[in-house]
Amino acid sequence: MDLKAHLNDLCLEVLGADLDQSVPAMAAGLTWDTLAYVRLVVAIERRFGIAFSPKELLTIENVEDLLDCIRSKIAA
Amino acid sequence: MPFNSLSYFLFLPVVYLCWYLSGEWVRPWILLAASLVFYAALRVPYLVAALLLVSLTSFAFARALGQSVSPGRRKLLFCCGIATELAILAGLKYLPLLGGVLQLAKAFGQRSPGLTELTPLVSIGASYFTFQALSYLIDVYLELEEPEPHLGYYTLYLAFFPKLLQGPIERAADLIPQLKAHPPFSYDNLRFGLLLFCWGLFKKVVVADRLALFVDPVYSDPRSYTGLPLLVATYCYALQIYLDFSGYTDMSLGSARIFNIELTQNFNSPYLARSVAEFWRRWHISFSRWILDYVFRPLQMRWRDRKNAGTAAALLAAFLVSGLWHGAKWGFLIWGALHGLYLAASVYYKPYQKRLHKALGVEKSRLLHLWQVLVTFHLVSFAWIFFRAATLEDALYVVRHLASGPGGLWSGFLLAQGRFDPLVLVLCLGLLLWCKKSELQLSRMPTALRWAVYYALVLAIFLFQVPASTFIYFQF
Repeated sequence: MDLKAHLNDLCLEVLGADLDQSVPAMAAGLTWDTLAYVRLVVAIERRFGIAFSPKELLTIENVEDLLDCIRSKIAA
Repeated sequence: MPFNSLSYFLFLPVVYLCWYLSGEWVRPWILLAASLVFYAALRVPYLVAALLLVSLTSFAFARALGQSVSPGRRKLLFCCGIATELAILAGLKYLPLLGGVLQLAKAFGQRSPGLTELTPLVSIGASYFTFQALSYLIDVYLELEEPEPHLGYYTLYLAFFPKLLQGPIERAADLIPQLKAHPPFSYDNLRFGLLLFCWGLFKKVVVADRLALFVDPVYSDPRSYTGLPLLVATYCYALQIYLDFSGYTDMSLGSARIFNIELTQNFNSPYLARSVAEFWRRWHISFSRWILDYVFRPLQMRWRDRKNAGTAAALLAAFLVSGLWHGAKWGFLIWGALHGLYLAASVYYKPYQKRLHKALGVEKSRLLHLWQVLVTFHLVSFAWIFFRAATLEDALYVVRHLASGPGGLWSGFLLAQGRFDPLVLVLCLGLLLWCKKSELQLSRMPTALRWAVYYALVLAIFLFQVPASTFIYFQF
């Protein structure tokens, strides 16, 4: 299973929504009562054993940004 | 130079004429010179010096950040830049805090607006341009934005006079490209800008200042009142601060618009919000967005392992910062803490609330919608008590005596206001509501009717204005 499919399953499991829909919507609409993004980030970190830096978390805007970030961390 | 002063009514047309008659390449520098004159007109020379110092230092740190590739050096430059800007702001706004704990305790205990009375320092506008410089440095550090290569444009971004004293807090990426652009003359922008300015002036001098006639007597001596007068004054203050600040924002947006510049809209019917979170998406939007992006989100992500508790703590911290931004006074701190608590509590109860509404089948009920708007308005109004009261003791007195019946002085309080002001107030509030509800589009009206509206608006301002007063948010 490729990384995107793996992440999609995780997103469905945690948020009950598709990855392609969730990430851009969350990044664009982050507000005072947005908890979904944090839940997804924590789930990804636990599943892949990685940790995002504050800068990475503030700059991810779409699924590709997220995939690139995870790939670079897994490869490191 | 407040927007509702005669000097501004002369200043704006003169600047516009100079700007309009000059060549495109001179226009930004006319605006910069006008902005510095506008700020210098406050007759507080150190404020202009502080503005130039913030411009120079943040510009230099951002340039150095842009040229540096070493992560360690970038982090050092970033920390130095942020510390410099915060030190300048603290020097202007919180200097008495450094004076010692005893002085601080004395200030919090006094029947005074707080530390501002202990110091001759005036910091009008400083919070706004410093916050813009901070956001610029953070964005450059995070590589969300390229450093601006031209000091003149950058200084104009911080100093642009329509938003210098009270915001909106603009992002460099939104404003600098507009300052550099040279769009052709637009009659629509000129007309819309002037109309928006007049509309804001009407909100301020006719409605907000008239509401102050009901608020100020009560809040300047709350212990002389019980019950209804306190309640009426509190509701009136909720409306006054909204109309005062949104009136200012309209005047700010209108002033900028005549120069073909669109500033951020700061308000979107905040008292129609169905939750406190929604209120903060509609109230002082540019400031709320700043706190959200640069305080709440980083903290929420830093404390993400603590799940809901981390988010709740980040909300509390963000709103305490928001309270402190308004000044060193217990009332502001409690106001911020209350909003933080409202939001932190919603992190826990919101999932259950959703399930309850679903189980009762009232998710789309209009009655539920109305109920939520009412509850949110009352939560926000309750917090305003601490924001408005001169001291913590006064605020606690108002809270304890809000529900103590009609109050012996109720009729006397109302009679003291006379009949004229309440009547004008009711008519004006009705007009504001009607304009909002009908989404009045002046541009679609026949010319004669449109001009009749313009004259009516100007006439109303002249006939019904309350003697000049300053804007509430000037103090921040």
